[in-house]
Amino acid sequence: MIFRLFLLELRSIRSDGRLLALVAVALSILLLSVWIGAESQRVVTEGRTAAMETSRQQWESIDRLSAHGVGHYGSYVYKPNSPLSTLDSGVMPFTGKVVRVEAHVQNPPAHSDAASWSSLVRLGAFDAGTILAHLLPLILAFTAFSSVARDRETGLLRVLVAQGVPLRSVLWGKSLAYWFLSLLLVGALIIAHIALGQASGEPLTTDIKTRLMLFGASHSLHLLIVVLLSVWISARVSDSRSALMILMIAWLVTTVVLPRVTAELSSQIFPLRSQITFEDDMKEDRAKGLDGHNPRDERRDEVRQQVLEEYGVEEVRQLPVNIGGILMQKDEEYGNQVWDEHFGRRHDTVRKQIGVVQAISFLDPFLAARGLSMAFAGTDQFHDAQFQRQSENYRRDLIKALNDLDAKAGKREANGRWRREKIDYSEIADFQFEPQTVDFALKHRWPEIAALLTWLIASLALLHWGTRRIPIVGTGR
Amino acid sequence: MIETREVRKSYGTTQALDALTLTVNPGEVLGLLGPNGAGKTTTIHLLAGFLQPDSGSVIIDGIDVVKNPDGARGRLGYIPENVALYPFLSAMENLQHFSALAGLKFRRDELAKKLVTSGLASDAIHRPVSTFSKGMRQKVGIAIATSKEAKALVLDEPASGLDPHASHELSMLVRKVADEGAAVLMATHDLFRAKESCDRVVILQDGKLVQELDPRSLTANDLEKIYLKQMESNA
Repeated sequence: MIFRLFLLELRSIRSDGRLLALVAVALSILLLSVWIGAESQRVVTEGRTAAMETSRQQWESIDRLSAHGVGHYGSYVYKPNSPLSTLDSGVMPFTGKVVRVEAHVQNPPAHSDAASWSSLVRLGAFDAGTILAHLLPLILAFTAFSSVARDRETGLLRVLVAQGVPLRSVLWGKSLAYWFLSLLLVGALIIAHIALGQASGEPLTTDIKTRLMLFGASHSLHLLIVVLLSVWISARVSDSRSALMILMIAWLVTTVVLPRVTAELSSQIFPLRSQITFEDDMKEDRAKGLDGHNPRDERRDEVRQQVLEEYGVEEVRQLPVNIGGILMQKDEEYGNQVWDEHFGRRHDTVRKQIGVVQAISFLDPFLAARGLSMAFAGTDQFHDAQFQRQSENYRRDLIKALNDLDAKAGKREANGRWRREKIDYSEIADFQFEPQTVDFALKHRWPEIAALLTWLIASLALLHWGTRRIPIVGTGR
Repeated sequence: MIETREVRKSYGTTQALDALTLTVNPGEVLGLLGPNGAGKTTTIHLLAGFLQPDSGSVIIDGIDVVKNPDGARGRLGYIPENVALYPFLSAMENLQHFSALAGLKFRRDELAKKLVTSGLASDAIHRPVSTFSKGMRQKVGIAIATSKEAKALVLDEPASGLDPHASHELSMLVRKVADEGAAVLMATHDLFRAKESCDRVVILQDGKLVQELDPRSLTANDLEKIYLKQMESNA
């Protein structure tokens, strides 16, 4: 019975040119967004590859600099795009893509798309994730608002019910038809993404396949919730105009108002220090010591003394190593502790802010869908923080290698002066980003999964048990 | 059998039905007459389980409609004043789908026969109903309702929009359904059709049953006079 009603509703949608046009527009926008995403990905990748090559050439052409000098000369690491960022760019356009790695300083990622006055600043992101989470619920609400109300107004609902069709079957048939359209759109999007990826020679790894599947599933679940609630409201409210008004208000609240209120609320409850304050605090801690009682000069004296004792000599000029390199490395290690402390605190604050959003996603399924979409696309804040961590780890390894070379690559001359050897810096490897697996996304985003499932269960329960007060005849007699 | 016992129904402060008690026996056609707003459609909607009574009981073939609406509807055929159908389907497809939804399966020739028996021209059977007049849609609705071969049939102004010939055919069809053992309740304004097809006629005014008549013992003119007199006396 439900399958028959589902087919009838599909034919009804097909016969209504306006609904079909809406679906066609949604499909076109989605496919366009994938194509635009793939194109911009290609341009960005080309740009990054060229920049990386230039950086490498510059690195390999370093000739007369000391190892510590090279540490100051520094290098650049470039954030690779997640293969699924064409589907959902997440926070990536707003976070930096390039980190300058150098001695003594932990630079934040710079050169975000948003900071480069791209169209993003004027128009916002145009990607499939945004369209699926923002626009498609609106289109579904527009198509489903009259699904039951119209049948009640024309009298078709009475004929159906009189034939012995339970109301919940009517609601199920309609819901499945609208959800089927959503699945077609999500399916077409994923197929288009895979096709474009294959055409450009991108590998389709198991992790990407799983991420794609979960990306599609999370949006499909969100859209199912939207469909179930839209159809139920269409049934429960006495006329289609009221149903449309309720659905529009719900859309506005869930996709526009509540997300902004949540963002504001989370930053009020857990305020984040500005980048300038963050950097100033780090500089101060590095100079004065983390506890404020262990200044840099005292630390240097302490290290110098330890090294002299270790080598059993009384003067620096008697050491078989260059103490400059050792001091630099010790200072670097202290700086690393300071960074760990501050970055850790900052990351904790961000986690707490995300925690507020995750808690409120139990009130707003849009927030849950948005969070999952970004996470499965590998473009949320958790994934972004991984780039910052990995680039910092690379910086530490690089600077340590350089400081070790500065300390040991050379020899002490008879006059006590340290003579440096010529060093081939091309042996130092480039930064290699290790992408996170989908488990990482699942580990951080279980609250959103729970929120979405809770909404789904509630919507299903409403459709199953909430038909008792649904009017079969319109207002009046 | 169709029964209502002391049924009351109000919409806000308006009392639509006031202690309405009716019985329609198997094989009987009861005409429900009354002016607009008398409570005829409310009675039909209560019998079909579209509305819930404030008090009293509504019973179809022994099944309480409030307690078991799905069970009661399984034994009920319903023809509204304006039959709504799937406009993109043909008459045949509509009948096929609605029958299937009621759990009935018919061969295509059987479906065609039911439509023709309901008065639809055979060349209209495969046309989309979006091209149909109101009367033609009404005939498809009659085919849908009668194909259930239900124990009870309720009709809400079924002849509305039908031409005299189709209206007469409907009267004959209603009579045939009753003769096959169904209890039929027909709300109508059409006194002539009521006289033609009903075994009994009741007049409803302001939600109350005010008079019961045997139309066979009256001419159509007598019936009209009594009806108008009743309306005036209660005005």
